[in-house]
Amino acid sequence: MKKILNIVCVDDEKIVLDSLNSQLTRNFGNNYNYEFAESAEEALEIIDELRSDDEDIIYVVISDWLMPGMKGDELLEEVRKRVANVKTILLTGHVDSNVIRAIEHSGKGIECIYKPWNEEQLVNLIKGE
Amino acid sequence: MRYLVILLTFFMYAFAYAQQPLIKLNAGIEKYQFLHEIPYFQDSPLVKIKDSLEKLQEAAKVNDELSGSIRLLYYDKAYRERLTGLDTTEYRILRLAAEAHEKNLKRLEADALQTLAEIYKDNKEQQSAAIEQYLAAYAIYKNLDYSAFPLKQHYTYNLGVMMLKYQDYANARIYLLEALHTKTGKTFNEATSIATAVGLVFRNTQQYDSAINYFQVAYDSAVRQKQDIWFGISKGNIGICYFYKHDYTGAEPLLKEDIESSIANSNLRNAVGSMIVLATIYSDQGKFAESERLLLRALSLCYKKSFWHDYGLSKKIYGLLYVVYGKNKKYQLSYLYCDSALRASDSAVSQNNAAALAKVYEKQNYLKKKLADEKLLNETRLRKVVNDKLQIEQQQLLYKFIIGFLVVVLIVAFIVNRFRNNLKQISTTVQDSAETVVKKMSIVIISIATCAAALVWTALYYYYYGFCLITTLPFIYFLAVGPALIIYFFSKKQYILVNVQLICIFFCTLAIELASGGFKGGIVILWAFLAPVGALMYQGLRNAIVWMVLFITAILFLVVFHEQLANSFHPIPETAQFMFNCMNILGPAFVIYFSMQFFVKSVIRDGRLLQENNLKLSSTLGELELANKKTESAYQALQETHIKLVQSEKMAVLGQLAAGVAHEVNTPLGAIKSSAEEAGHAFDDVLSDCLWMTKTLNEKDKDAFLDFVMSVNPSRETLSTREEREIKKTMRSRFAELNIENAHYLSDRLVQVGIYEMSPALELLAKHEHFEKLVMLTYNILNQKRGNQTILLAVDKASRIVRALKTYAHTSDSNTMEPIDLRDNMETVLTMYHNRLKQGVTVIKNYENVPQVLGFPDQLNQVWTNLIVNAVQAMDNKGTLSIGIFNDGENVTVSIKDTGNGIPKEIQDKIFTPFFTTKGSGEGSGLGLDIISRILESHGASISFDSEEGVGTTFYVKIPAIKPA
Repeated sequence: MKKILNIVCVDDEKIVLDSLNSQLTRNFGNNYNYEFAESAEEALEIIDELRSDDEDIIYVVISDWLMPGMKGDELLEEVRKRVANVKTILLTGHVDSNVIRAIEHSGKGIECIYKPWNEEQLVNLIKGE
Repeated sequence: MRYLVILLTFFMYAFAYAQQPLIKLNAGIEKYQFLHEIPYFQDSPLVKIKDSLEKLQEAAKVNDELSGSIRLLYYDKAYRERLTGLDTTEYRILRLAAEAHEKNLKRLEADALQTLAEIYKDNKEQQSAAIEQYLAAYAIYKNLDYSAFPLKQHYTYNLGVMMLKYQDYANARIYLLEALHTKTGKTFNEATSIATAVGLVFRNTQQYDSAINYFQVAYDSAVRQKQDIWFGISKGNIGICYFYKHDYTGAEPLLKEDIESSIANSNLRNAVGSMIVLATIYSDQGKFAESERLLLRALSLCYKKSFWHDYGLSKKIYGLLYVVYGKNKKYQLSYLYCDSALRASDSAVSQNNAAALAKVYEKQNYLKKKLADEKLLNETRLRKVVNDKLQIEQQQLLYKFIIGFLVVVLIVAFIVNRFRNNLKQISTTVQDSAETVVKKMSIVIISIATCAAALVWTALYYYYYGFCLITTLPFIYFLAVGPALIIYFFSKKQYILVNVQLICIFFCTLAIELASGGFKGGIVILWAFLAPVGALMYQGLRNAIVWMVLFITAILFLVVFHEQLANSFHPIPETAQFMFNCMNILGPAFVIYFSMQFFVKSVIRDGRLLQENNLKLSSTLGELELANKKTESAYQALQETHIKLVQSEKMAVLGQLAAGVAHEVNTPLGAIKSSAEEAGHAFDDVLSDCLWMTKTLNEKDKDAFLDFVMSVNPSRETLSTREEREIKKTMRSRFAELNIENAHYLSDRLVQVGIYEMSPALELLAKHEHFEKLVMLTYNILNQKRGNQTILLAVDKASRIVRALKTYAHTSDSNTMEPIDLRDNMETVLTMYHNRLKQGVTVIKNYENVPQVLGFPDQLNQVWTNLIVNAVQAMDNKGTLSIGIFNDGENVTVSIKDTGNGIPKEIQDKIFTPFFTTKGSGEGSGLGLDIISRILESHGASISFDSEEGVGTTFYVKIPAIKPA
């Protein structure tokens, strides 16, 4: 069976997850498996579950920043610790936040994309172009 | 004062008027001596006197001297008019003199005596009495000077003339010279007469040169005053002097001048006298013819003017004629005149004998009187000497007593001063206030002093009265107060001493006063006045009034029974009486003075304290006013600052919100955008797939597919990702059972669009060879619907946020409150803070059905925001926030409870203070709770809180509900 990589999306807003689901499905079809979590904790649960089968099965993690509990940047850092070669994208509504700017330029490999996001930009980021 | 001056001036004028007639009168009397027939009182001056008298009547009513003078004038006038006899006038004038003497009206007395002398002088039998009166008058006016007694000169002159008459040349010279040298004014000057009288004195004592000098003075004076009659007289007198000195050549022309002048002035008697002297000179010189002619002329003048009775004068003329004719050898004529001379001589001898006899009697009388006077004078002098000696002795005694009294006082004062501290120690207790100490010391010192005084009094009374009731009374006082003083030293009970002191000083002195004969015996009763004074000091006003009433009653008693009490008066020496009175005034006066001093001092002290306090108060008041003004302006500035701060606090909160709000809005916007794009793509896919389906599928399959799509009723409920994952798992395993390719992907898509279970239609479709394509078609169709739903949801969410923001930031333009449902209000705030709360705070809402309240929504939003933010901060973003809204009838209560650390007890009462903050510098303004309380205050609402450390804090806000109409 062909190894299917996973894209994990994290956002406390369900509608955002739904939108991401539709966009990813149309752009990447069944090339990837898509997982959705409403909080960072849930996301880490999913990732750990997925990784129990295969270490490198996680391809991209897209996370909102401001969420109850663990913040997006913390989650992504955590993910990068656990998973090698993982793409991490921070999808945030905080356009004008110093915090986000600091994260973007911290050199930790976290890409930032701002709500309302451009589909093409997102797809390109996922593709790694 | 002005009236007094006017009155005095009037009196002075009136007195000058009064003096005027008296002078005239005296002058008249003088004239009367020389010219017997001129009736003085029908003269023109009398009319003037009458005028003056009328005016004087008024003035005399208030001036004793003046009225006396007028009376004197009337008496004299009446006598002169012979309306009354000498006896009556004498008696009246004597009475007036006595009256004047009694009233100490010196001048009137002198006038009266003088008038009396003048009257006596008229009467030849009473010449010595006249001298006596003159002397008495002189004794008075010799001490008065001209300004006080204008008639001094006149009276002295009269006296001198009287002496001359009695050949008492030594005294006559003294008085006349005094009269001559007396300073005179315009009203009176008799220099001519006086100088003449002095000249006569010297001539009669054979001092012719001095006599000539004074006659010359008289002549000069007469020239100065144009007294024609005196020219001749003076010259004649000088001539007579020369005659006596046998200087006939010097005498002759002077005598001739005198004779001419005297005849011209009708002073014939004087002319006759001078003629005789001149005739004597001629006779001695042998000029018989001239001598004879002169003598005959003189004789004719004597006949003509009836000097005939003056036998002395006629005898002289006859005698001279006899000598002249004899020398001229006209013996017949000589004989004739010799006979006449002899006869005249006989008459003259008998006349002279009678006169001489009378004179002898008179002189004897005069000498007798003089002797009696001298005796009286000596007696008086002796009496005076004895009296003076007695007085000096008594005065010395008085001084001794006074010195003794002062020594006693000084000894007592010294003892009190020396043992002051001991006295203070035994008189007062430690806990006494300064004022009490002064009071106690005062009563002790007064008691000691009065005891000493009582002993002195006892001694004095014993000295004067011997052993009797009066002597024992002061000793009784000593025996009562002394022990009371000793009892006080041991018991320290002031009231015993004070009462004993008051009772004794009142009743003992009253008893002494009664026993010594009331007021006649002295004024010991003054000591009793110390009773009301003492009561005032030590017992209060009521007792003082009682004592005062008693004192006044005692005085009234003494006044009413003065006569009866005076009977028991035992006379003591006047000096002793005087001394007692002095001491009785001094003693109480001292005590009262020191009492007054004590009270005045305390009053001044109190006053000063009050003044100082007032000053302090007023300055404090000024400072306070200044401070108040400063505070007011500061308060105003603070108010302005506060408004700015409230605004900036609001803006700061808004700034914090902005980030969150942007996120909250951007999220739905992102969803909308992607959903819309997705819908567009899905539509394209559906269109091509539908085309494919109509071409490929048979009718049966088409129906089956359409049945499936139509049967799908996507779940409206939004599942969580976890639930979705569970459903996905189920779907995947079922798809796997059916050996469907891409089971994982396809089942995910179906779940994505809301198909959560394997319906029979789906089961049927799953066997179809194009199942994957049909699923994707279904997905695309349903995803559009799903996208629309998402968009709607997102729009809802976005618009909710926008609405909340608008509500939150809403500032009412009007100043009127509007009805608010606090639940909506709270929801707005919670919406705004959704993204902040969701991070770790569980919000539990417990809303009752509550009535609306009146308020400004934006302000209340601020209240809730602040309280919620504080609560979340207190919980460090993790915990449970319980928000309750309750209705208790009148108020709507909002409770906001956190599970934080609670507020430490020590700062609980400070949290509403402006600028109080537990946050670090720059994090919080410290105005949050202050602003809340101000806002709530303007809403008539109140805020309170319960806090327990480690458990949490609950804030309660009570807002008045709108009462249902």
